Amino acid sequence: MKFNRYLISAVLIVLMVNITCFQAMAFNFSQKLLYEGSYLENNGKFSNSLTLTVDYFHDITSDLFLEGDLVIRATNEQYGDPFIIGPNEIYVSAYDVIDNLDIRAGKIVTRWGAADMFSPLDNFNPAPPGISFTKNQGKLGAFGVSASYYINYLTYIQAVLVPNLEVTPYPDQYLKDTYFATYSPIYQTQGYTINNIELSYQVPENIIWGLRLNHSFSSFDAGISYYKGNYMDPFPADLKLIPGNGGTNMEIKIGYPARQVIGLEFQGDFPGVEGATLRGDLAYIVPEKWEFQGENILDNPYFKAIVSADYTTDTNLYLNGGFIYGMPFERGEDCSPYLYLNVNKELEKSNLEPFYIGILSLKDLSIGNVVGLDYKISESVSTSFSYLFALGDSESKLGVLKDSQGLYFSIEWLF
Amino acid sequence: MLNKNNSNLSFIIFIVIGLFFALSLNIAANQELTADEIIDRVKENQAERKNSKTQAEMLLIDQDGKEESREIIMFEQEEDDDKITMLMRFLSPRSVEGVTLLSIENGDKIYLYMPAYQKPRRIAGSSKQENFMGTDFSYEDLSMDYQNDDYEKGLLDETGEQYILQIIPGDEDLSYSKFILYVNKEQFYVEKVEFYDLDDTHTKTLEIQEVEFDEEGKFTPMKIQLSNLLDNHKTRMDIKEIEYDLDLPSGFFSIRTIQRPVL
Repeated sequence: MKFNRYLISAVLIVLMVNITCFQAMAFNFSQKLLYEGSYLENNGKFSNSLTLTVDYFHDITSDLFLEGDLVIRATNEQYGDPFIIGPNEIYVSAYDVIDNLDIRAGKIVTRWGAADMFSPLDNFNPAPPGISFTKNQGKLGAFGVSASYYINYLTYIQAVLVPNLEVTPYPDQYLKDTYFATYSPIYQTQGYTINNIELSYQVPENIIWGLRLNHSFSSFDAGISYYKGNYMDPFPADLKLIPGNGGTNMEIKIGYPARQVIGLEFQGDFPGVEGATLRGDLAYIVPEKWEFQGENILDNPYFKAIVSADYTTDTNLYLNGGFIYGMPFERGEDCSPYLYLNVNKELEKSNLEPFYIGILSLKDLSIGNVVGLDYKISESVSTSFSYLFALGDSESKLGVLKDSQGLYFSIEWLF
Repeated sequence: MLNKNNSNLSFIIFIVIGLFFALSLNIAANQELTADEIIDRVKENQAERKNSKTQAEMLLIDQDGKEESREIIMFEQEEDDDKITMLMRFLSPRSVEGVTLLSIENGDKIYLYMPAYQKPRRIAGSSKQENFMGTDFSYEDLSMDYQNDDYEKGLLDETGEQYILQIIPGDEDLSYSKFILYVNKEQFYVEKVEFYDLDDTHTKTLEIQEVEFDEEGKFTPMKIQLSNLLDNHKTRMDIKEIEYDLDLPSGFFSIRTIQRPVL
């Protein structure tokens, strides 16, 4: 399946080059060079990565475009490929294919939901592994088709089809280390010494699809949606212990349970609160029943929600706060309530913008915090320095962030 | 000879009296103009177009005089009820390229499309006072009609070159208590607008620094500067090209359009 995806990417790139050559027209290019560095306190490790992103588009006709990017990334991070090259998105977009119908086809990112982050309705594309507190979470492209039909200029219906599930690309070694840390102590008490973990993947090949109806009312926009697909994060499906020389091998089969998501999203005026924009996503999730070692991991339908408000004060202080029920790493009965706050302000007579992002678990009062400073060196160069820290014990909801506690730095050049 | 001189003198006197009479009539007519009539004359001198497409350079000038340049493309359309619908996209620099604002009917609905988010974001009406993408224009400024027929108008003063009008919007949704308009007396176009906030503090000044007139005497502002007096920051817009009466498809001013890579 991986080979097929590489093949499709290669075909699209060749197609792109051919169209350019035949039509003797230039692409519109723009580039971004990003350096990211971090120092994690718990293991004293420095990580660095350098990413070059080349965005392009080409107007084949006035209603037909070829768009995409090319990402080249080198990193010394503990997990993952040290070098990556390939497009995150590459697609053809066609407008008025028939009257009022727009289509995008290829490797695409489809964003559903009104919330800026952690939307439970945004399910077609996997996010990079881990949780990000950044203002806009990047998504990984997936091969598929998105069609939007505009019934009128206020109402449209969107259909999305993804032929194969694209999963969050957790590095094997990361999963092995995680499972080892989880199960090794348990089996140790039963007299097994785990010395190796083997992973096998069972990726479903069913079609992923969704429908969404959106309407613009006078004071707010609202949409309802239906998604039929799968979880993109790995779930353990089966675990076997195989005795070996000098220890025990653990074989873990990984699966991706099916799920249906019925959604409601809205954004617009905050009723009765002047100066605020209200955004919200509500998801009713019907999961495939999933058992592991006799325990129900997924069973009954459950809700996830995020409701937030944006407000900018007279002194240009930006406030974005809200309520979350169910973080991206929570499912089923694990879902719990959180409050979050995102504050930033560009200081007068400077290009400095201090910011704070905090999430508080209402269940155990653990807190994840990021304090930082953005600095715009010039119109095309900007930098950011931040410190992430978590409060609460390591078993708490946001205690998982203790592994990421440390200093983060980035510098970005747009050209 | 005498007769000829007398004839010439009579002709000159006739011309002088005629000119004086005409001038007197004109002055009298101008003196009698009310604020509403002055605004009507300004509106008459504005190009009456169903829509327009403008390409411009936007200069952001900070308190130290440092300039940042942005290229924009802007489409405007006057709706049946005189409300303005506007769509504006940044073409450069790279940091804002593709960012698109859609303001429908004087900002009744505002959408912002940022390519990084890959979806349109609706901006609540109550956020209209926020500045748009680092400029001195708020969302409200970009979609406001200072000459709204419903606003209360009064003639404050008049100099040799300008009428000075006071406009009181009386609109509870607006974040301005009044505007002072400086209207060019000879050519009837607004040269300057002063904005006063709800505390009656003069906060912004809009200056039309250059205008162009067509054959019919209709004017188009070609160079506009908005100064924010609170932080001494300025935004200047130099119009590079303007087209009128385009054959735009129905539904052009919609969230569908702002997601297109090319307008």
